[in-house]
Amino acid sequence: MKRSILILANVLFAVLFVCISATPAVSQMREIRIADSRGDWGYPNPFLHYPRGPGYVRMSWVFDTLIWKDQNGYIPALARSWSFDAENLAFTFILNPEARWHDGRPLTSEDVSFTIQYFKKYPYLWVTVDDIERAVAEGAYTVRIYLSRPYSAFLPDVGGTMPILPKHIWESVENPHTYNDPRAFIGSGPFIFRDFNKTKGTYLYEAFTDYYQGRPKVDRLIYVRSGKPMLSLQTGEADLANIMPGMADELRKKGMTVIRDERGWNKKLMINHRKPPFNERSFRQALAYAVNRQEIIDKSHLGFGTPASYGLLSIDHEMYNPKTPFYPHDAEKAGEIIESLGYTRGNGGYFEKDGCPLTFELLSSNITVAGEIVSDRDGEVIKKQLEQIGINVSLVNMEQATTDSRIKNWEFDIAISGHGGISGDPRILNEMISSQYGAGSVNSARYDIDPELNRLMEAQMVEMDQQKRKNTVYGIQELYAIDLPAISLYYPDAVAAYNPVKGICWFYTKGGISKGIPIPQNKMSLIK
Amino acid sequence: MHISFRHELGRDPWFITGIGLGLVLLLLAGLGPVFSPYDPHDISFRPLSPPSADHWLGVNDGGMDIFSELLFGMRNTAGFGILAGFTALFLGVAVGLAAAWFGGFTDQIAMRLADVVLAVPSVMILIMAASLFRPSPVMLAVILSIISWPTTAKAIRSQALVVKNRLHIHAARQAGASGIYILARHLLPELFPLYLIGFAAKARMAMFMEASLAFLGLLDPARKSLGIIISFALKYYYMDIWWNWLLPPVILLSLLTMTVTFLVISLEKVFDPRLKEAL
Repeated sequence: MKRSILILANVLFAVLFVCISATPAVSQMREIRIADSRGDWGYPNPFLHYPRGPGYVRMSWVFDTLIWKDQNGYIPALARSWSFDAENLAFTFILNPEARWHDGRPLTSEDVSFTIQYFKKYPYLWVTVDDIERAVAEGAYTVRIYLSRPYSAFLPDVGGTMPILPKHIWESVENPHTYNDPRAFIGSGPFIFRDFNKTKGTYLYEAFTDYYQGRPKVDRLIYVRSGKPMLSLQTGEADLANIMPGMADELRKKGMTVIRDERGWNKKLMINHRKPPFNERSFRQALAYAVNRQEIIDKSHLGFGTPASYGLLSIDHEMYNPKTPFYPHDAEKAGEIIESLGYTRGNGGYFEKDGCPLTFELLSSNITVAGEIVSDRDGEVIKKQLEQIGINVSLVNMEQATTDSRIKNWEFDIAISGHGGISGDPRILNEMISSQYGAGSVNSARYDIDPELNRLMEAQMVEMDQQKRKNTVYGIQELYAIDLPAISLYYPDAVAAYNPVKGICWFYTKGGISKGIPIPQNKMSLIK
Repeated sequence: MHISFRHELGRDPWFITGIGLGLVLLLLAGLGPVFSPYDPHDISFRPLSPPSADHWLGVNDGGMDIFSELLFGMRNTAGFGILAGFTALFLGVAVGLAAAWFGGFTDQIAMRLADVVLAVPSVMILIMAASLFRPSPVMLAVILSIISWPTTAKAIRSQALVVKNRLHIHAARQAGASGIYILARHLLPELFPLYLIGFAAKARMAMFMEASLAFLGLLDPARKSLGIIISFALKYYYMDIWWNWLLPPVILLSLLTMTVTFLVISLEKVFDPRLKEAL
């Protein structure tokens, strides 16, 4: 009997031992994999990430901001609470005393004021700190930020987008754009950056167990490069992926959860308005009449998309101006406008002026919503449409980084590109129109020659009354649609799918992550 | 060509299959615009329509007739291969013959140049040229031939050195024949089988290269090519389009390269005695 009890006790002990030792192993295996067709979006820190939404999102896992967004709007992040003192033009943020850097040091108000000073010295293209007069640390966890003039986009911009840097690391860094020491990735976000393989396009993050908002739901977060999202989801290579809208039904049948975004990303025709004939406003308007946007959606995207507003802001935005000028497809009218500019029909039906045929290059790239690279026929369709009205077009397809670089250096005629942010704060209008606000953006039209448009853009930035600001934003959209320094084409349907078995509920953020990034990779999905 | 070679080729199944396939494909490529039921750039049809009497292979995502696309795509892919094959052959023959005939310093320079070019990875050069300078397909074919002539030149040179020392060449020299006369009347015709082998090998490589560049999106996306048809069809891998949209260009590309491969095998077997024994 004694022996039997002893054996039983041994067996029980062995089972208990196996269970105890197995539990942490299983827990350590909890990981989430996100598929991405491009892979390389730069190192995840403010100065090294690629200046597009997916680059920012990869950084956002590591670096926290003062406030953040969940499904319902702004929520506390590093700042537990905040207030605005209109009389003194000052925002006060009370920091969460639980917040820690990944190296264990506490995050204090000194770090916040240092970050603002640092970005004044070394600008971070995603945030404007020009209107901040000074930031004062009032105690360890209270910071007061004084503005030199009203700044209507302060909260989404500085509060919800500016990553806070650890002073004890960055105060000695004088060349942040080349600084990639492991300490350059010490942040206060929910995940610690572990590895980035530029060739394979993979990222590895590990959970920051002392995160002030609670331990993340998974221990590891992995980005994998995959051009076949449907296969990746089905084989378990990925748990979350952006998908083509046509895949949605099939994936639902396989048990995946499919989510759709509002219209927060637009495909856009960039125009080199500094050179003839594109410097003529009427010529740009002729282009708008010539391009049949519904046909692009139908022939290049199987109908999954919506023609965009010519005023840039999303038609889902609460400040969208429904009276924005509209250019219905009218090839005849486009031809008449071009003729009014002194062009005549030459041999082969193409326009010419002074013996020179109207010929230009259409630069095409394959970027689409969420920074995914998907080959499409946009360039092919637009080329055909322009040739039908008498413009000879040579189509050149290039990968996205080269296209971005050529646009930025004004080495193009017209180019197909695109960006998000159009359902976020209307400051996006300034960034995508003016060189003063968007010089660093690869998508900015950098159009500064309309004084009235410039005045309105300035006015919207200092208008703290949202209703009055709305009227100004209406005016900007109207003027932009008349001047057309770039032509918004359409909003592709943004769809993603995830495997619910992992217990994570991914969502698209209303108005986009941060300033309007339409990607369903909000870090709150892995926190609360 | 000797009569025995002709006779031998006529009985060789590799040659018969290759030449038969080649003729059919050349006919399709050459008369593509005649056979093509529609303009391959016409986007007016209902996207992703299945095969029907009007559209034998259906309609692609952009509303274009797939059969018409295929005919034009094959024409471009085959045309690229033929152009690159001929140009590489011309360069290879010119350099190889000059090196063999003049010998000495000319031979040294030509062969060292060939060694250098051989060491250059042609795929990388072509990808770089296509992505950085966006040349026309004709220019790309010429660039490809500029980096692919050395093997032909070396083969021509070694065979020309043998022929050069034969008795009838010496006799022609003794009779006062000029160098140009001997090159044109004796060396050039006698090396004929090597031209076919050189051309076929280069053309096969060039066709595959063109399809690859188009697949990677490095050529004009509006220009039809088997590579670009495959690329777009793969985008819709999750739909039931593989048999009418993805498979035909893959088969055609395979047939094109197989045709040339059969011809190369046959020609090498007939004209190279060592290979003949091996096979």
